[in-house]
Amino acid sequence: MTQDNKFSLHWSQWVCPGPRRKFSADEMARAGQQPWPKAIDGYVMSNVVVLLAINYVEMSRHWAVLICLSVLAANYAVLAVARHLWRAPTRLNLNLSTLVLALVTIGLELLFKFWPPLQLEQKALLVTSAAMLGGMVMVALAWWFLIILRVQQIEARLRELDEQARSVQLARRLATAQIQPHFLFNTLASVQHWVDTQDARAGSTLRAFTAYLRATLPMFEREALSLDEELQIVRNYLLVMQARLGSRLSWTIDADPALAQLQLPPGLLLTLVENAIGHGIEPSLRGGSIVVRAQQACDLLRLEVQDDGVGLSCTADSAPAASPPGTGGVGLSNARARLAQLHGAAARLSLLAQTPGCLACVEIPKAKEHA
Amino acid sequence: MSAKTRITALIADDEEAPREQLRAALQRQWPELQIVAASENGVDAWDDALAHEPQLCFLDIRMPGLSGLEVARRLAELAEPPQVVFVTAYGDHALQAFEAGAIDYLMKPVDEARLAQCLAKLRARLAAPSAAPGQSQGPDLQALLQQLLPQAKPRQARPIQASLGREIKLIAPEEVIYFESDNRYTRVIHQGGEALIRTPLKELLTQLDEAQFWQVHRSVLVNSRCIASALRIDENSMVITLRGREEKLPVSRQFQGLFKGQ
Repeated sequence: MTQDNKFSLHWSQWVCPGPRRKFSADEMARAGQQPWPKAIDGYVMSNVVVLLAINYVEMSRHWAVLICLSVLAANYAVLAVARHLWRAPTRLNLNLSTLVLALVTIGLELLFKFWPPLQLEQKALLVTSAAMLGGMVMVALAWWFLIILRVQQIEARLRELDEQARSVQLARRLATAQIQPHFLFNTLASVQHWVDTQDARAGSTLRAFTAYLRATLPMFEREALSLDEELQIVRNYLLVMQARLGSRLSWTIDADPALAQLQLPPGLLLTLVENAIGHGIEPSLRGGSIVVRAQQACDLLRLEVQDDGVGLSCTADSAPAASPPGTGGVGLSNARARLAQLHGAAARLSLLAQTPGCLACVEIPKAKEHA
Repeated sequence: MSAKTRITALIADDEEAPREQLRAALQRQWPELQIVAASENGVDAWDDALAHEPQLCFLDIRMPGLSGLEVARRLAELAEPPQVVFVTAYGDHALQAFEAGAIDYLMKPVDEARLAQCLAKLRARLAAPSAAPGQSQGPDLQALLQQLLPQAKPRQARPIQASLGREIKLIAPEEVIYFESDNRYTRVIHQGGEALIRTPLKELLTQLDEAQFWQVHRSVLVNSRCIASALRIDENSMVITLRGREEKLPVSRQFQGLFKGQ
C-alpha cells in the first residue's frame, strides 16, 4: 500500500496526469461518503464578491453589471465541477474538466478579440485576457489540489477500515476458536451425571467450569491478560478436565511469582494447554501429564507447556525437529499473531516434538518487557 | 444368534461420567437389556465387541485408539454386525444422515425422551426378520461411514521392537507372518523365528496397515501375503493355512466373511 505513495512516473501521466488510484463503486460507498464541505462554497463566493467590489470602479460603466454577473455565474460553474470531482475523484474527470475550462477560456478570448460589438481597445483586451488566463490557472490548480487531497482522504479511510476489519476478524477468529462445543457439552454431560447421582464432583467441577467461563468469555475483548489471570483460567480448565478424565490426566503449574504481571495475549497459554489435552492426552490410551512452567532465563522469559501424550509423532513420524513457524492450527497462528502484536517480532512460539509428547514454548525477550 | 434370551449391549466412552450416565439411563428404560461391556476406549470397544458379540453398540465418537466411527466401520464388516448407535457431545451434522438409516445417534448428556425414541427404533429393528441387518444395509452404511471418516493417512510401517534378554530385536512388519495374543503378551511369528512383545494385539491393530494385516480371530492378526488358503471345515468353522508353515489358524465365525471366494 505504501508503494503507491512512492514517486514514480507512469507513461500515462504524460497523457492524462493526476492520481492513478481509481476507486470502485464499492470503495466509494465504504470510504467516500463524506459530504461536500459547504463552507467552501460560501468562502469562495464571498472572496469573489469582495474582489469584484474592489475592482468595480475600474470597470466601464457600460459592462460592469454584466461582468459581475458572468463572473459569479462562472464561479458557480467552477464550484459545481468541484463538487462533481468530490463525488467522482478520477483523473479522467479532472483532465476533462481542465480541458473544457481551457477551451472555454480560449473561446472567450477569441470572442473578445473578434466579436465586433465588443470593440475592445488594445489595452483593455490585454487586461481582460490576462485576468481570464490567471483565473483559469487558479481554477485548474484548485481542482488539482482538491482531487489529490480527496484521493488521499479516501485512501486513508480505506486503510483505516481495513485495519479495523482485520483486528475485528482476528478477535472473532480467536473467540470462535475458543468456544469449543465439545468441551462445553462433554463437561455438562459429566456434571449432569454427577448431579443425578449426587456425586461430590458435581459441585467442584461446576465451580471450576463457571470460573472458567466467566474468565474466558470476555477475554477476547481485552488487549492483554496478566500471566496471573491467564494461569487462573488455565487452572480452572485443568480442574474441569481432571474431573472428567480422572486418573488419565495429571498436571502441575510451576510459575515464578515475579512474572505474575507479565502481559500476554489473552488465551495464549490456554490454547497451548488445550492443544496438549486435545492432541496429546485425550487421544492417548493411557493418558498422561501436563506441566505448565513460567520462568526467567538470563535475558528471556520462558513459558512452557509440556505433555507426554501421543505427541506430534502421530501426525509426522519422521519430523522430530522443531516445527516450522507456519505449522499449527488456527489457535496457534492466532496466538503467534497476537504475541507479535504485543511483544514484537522477537517473541517466539515454537512446538517441539518429544518422545513421548510435545513441548510448546513461548520466549519473550526481557528488555522488551521492561521497555 | 442362538439361544440368547436377553438382548446384549456394549457402551463405549472414554470418560467415566457419560459412560455411567448412559448405563443408568439404559437400565431405567430397558431393564432387561444386558450391558455386557463398558469400554474405555476404541481399542477396548472393538475387542470387547469381539469377545461378547453384543447386539447393540453405543459408541462415543471421540475415543483414543480407534474412534467410534472406525469401530463402527470394523463392526459393519463382521458376519453378524451389531446395531450401532453413536453418542456424541456435539452434533456433527453429517450424523443426521444416519438417523433414517441403519445407525442412530444420541447427544450427551443423554436425554431420556430421545433415548426412548432411539430404543423403540432399535427394538423394532431387532424384532424384524434377520434379513434386514448385514447384507441389505451393508454397502450403504459403509459408504456413509467412509464419508464421515477422515481420509486414512498411509501408516508408516514402524519396525516391531521385541526384547530378547538384553537384546532388542527389530522386526519389519512385512516379515511378520502372524501375531497371536498370549496372555499379557503378543507372540510375533516372523520369517526369522518367534518373539514376544508387550503391546497388546488390539493396540497393534491401530498401528499396522489394515490392508496387509487381517484380523481373523479376536486373538490372531495375519499377514495376508502369507495366507495360502482358507479351508471350510463345517458350517461354523474355518481354518487358514500359511505359506511354508505347518500350523493352521482358526478363523472365527465373525471374520469368515473375509474369505468369500470369487
